[in-house]
Amino acid sequence: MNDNPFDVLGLSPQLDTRSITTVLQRRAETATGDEREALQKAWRALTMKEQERVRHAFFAHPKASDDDHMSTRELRERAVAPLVRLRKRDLVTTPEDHQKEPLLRVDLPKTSDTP
Amino acid sequence: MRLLSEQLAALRRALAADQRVPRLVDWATGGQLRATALDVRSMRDWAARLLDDAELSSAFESMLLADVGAWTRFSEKCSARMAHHHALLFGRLATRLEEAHAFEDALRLHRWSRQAWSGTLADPTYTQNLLASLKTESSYEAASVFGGVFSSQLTSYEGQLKQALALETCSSGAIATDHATFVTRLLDEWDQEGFPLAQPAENARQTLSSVRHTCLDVLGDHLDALDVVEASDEALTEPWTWLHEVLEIVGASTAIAAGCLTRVVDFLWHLRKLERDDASVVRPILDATRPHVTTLTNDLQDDTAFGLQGRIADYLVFVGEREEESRERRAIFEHGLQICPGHRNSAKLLSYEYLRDVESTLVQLTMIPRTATRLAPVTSRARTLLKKASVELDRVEEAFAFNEEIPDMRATIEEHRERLNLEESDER
Repeated sequence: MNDNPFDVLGLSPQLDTRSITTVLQRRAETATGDEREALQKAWRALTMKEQERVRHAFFAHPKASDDDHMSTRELRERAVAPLVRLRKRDLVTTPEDHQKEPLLRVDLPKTSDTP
Repeated sequence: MRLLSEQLAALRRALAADQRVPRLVDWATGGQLRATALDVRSMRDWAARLLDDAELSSAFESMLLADVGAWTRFSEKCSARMAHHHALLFGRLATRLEEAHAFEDALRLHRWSRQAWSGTLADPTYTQNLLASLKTESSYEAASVFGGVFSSQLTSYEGQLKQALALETCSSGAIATDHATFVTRLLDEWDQEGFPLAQPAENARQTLSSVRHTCLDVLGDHLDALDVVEASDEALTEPWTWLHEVLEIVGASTAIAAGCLTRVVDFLWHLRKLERDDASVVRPILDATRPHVTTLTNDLQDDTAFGLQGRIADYLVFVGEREEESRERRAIFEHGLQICPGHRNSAKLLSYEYLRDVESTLVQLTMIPRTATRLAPVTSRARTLLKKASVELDRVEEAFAFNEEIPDMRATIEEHRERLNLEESDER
C-alpha cells in the first residue's frame, strides 16, 4: 500500500487544492532535487482529481497542527531557539538596557533614604 | 508568547508520539515490526489525545503490560478520532506483516483495523464533520468514499489469491497454502463480520466467488489438455487432487460443488467409454471429489440446491461400484434412488445386489434332498425358503423389472418347488 501523501508531507487533510499548492510551493523553495521531485509527485496526486484528494483526506491521519511534517529535532530547535536568543541577548542586563526599558523594575533605595 | 506556547505544544506532541508509538507498534506486532518515522509522525495527534486524558493514558500503559487480548478493552474507551488513527496504523502494520508472511498476526491486525474503522464510522458526527472540513466542490457520501476504497483494496487480493493457488500460471501442484489460506480467511472475515458498510462485504464475497469459479475453469483447461487414452494414471487423477486441495482452502459454494459434480461425472463416463476406468484411476478421483458431492447432497436435502439429483445418482453409481461389500454397495445405490427415484443405473445395480439374496436362498434350497421332505420340519423349512426366494425375487423385480436374470430365477424357484413336491399355495 502506498503511503498517503497527506501523511508523508504532514499536510492537514482539510487543505483545499489551492492551499496545498501554496504550501508545497513554499516548501519547494528550500527543497533539494529529490525532495522537490517528491513534492511534485504528491502535488499531482492531491490536486489532479478532487475525488482522489477526498479519498486521500479520508485515509489520512487527523492532524493536530500544521507542524507534522517537521521532525522532533526540528521542532525542538524551533521551540528552544527563542529561549536561547532571549537568554543571550535579553537576560544579560546592561545600564543601557535599564535606560531603554528595564526588564526588572527594582526600586533601588535612594541615597537620601539611607540612614 | 502565544507562538512560543504553540511551538512548545507541537514539540510536546512529537515527544509524546516518539515515546508511545514505537511501544504500541512493538506490542501490537509481538515485536516483529518497528515503527517507521512516518508511523510516529502521523500519530502525533493520537499521542496528544493520550496526553490530555490521564485515564486513557493509564489504560494505554496497562494494555502494553498485558497480552494482545487487552486491545478490545482499550479500544472501547477510544473516540472516533482515536479509532481513525488505529484503523490507519493497524492497516499499514497488517500489510507489512503480510509481506513478512506473518499471516496469523496480519489477520489479527487487519481485524483490529476493520474494527477501528467500524468505530470511526459508528460516529456519524465525526465522519460528517470530516467530510464537511474537506472543502470539496462536489458532494461526497462518506459511505461511498470509504466503501469504494475498501472494495478496491479487497479486489487487489483476488490477484494474490489466484497467484497463491497457482491459478495465474494454470500449473497445479504449486499452491502457496499459507498465503492462500490467509487471503481466504481475510475475505471471509470481511464478508462475515458485519462491517457497517455493505459494499466491501459484497466485494469480498464476489472476489471469493470469482476465484472459486476460476478454479473450475483451470480444472476444465487441465482436463481438455489431457489425452485420456495415452495419459498415465497419475496424469488422469492429478487435476482432481489439485482441485480438492484448492477447494479445501477457498471453500466450495453450492454452485462450485455442482460444477465439480457435473465435470467429474462427465469425466468418469469418458474414462469408462475409453476403458480407462481402472480402480487405480477412478478411486483417487472419487476420493478427491466425494466431500463436495456430499456437501451438495446435503444442500439438496435442505432445498438449497436442486436439479442435480440425476448427476448425484450417477456419481453414486461410480462410488458404489468400487465398494467391496455388498451391504455398502446396496446402501449407496439405495441412497442414489432415494435422491433420484427411478434412476435407471442405480435401480439396475441395486436389483443385482438384491439378486444375490435370491441366489443365496436358492443355494440353501438346493441343499435340501427331495426325500427329506417326508419329514415335517424339513418340509416347513423348504416352504419357508421357497417363500423367501419368491419375495426376494419380487423385490428384484420391483427395483428393476428389466433385470435379465429374473425369468431364469423364477424358473429355478419353480424347479425347486416341483422337485420338493410342494404347491405354491402351501407356502402361504
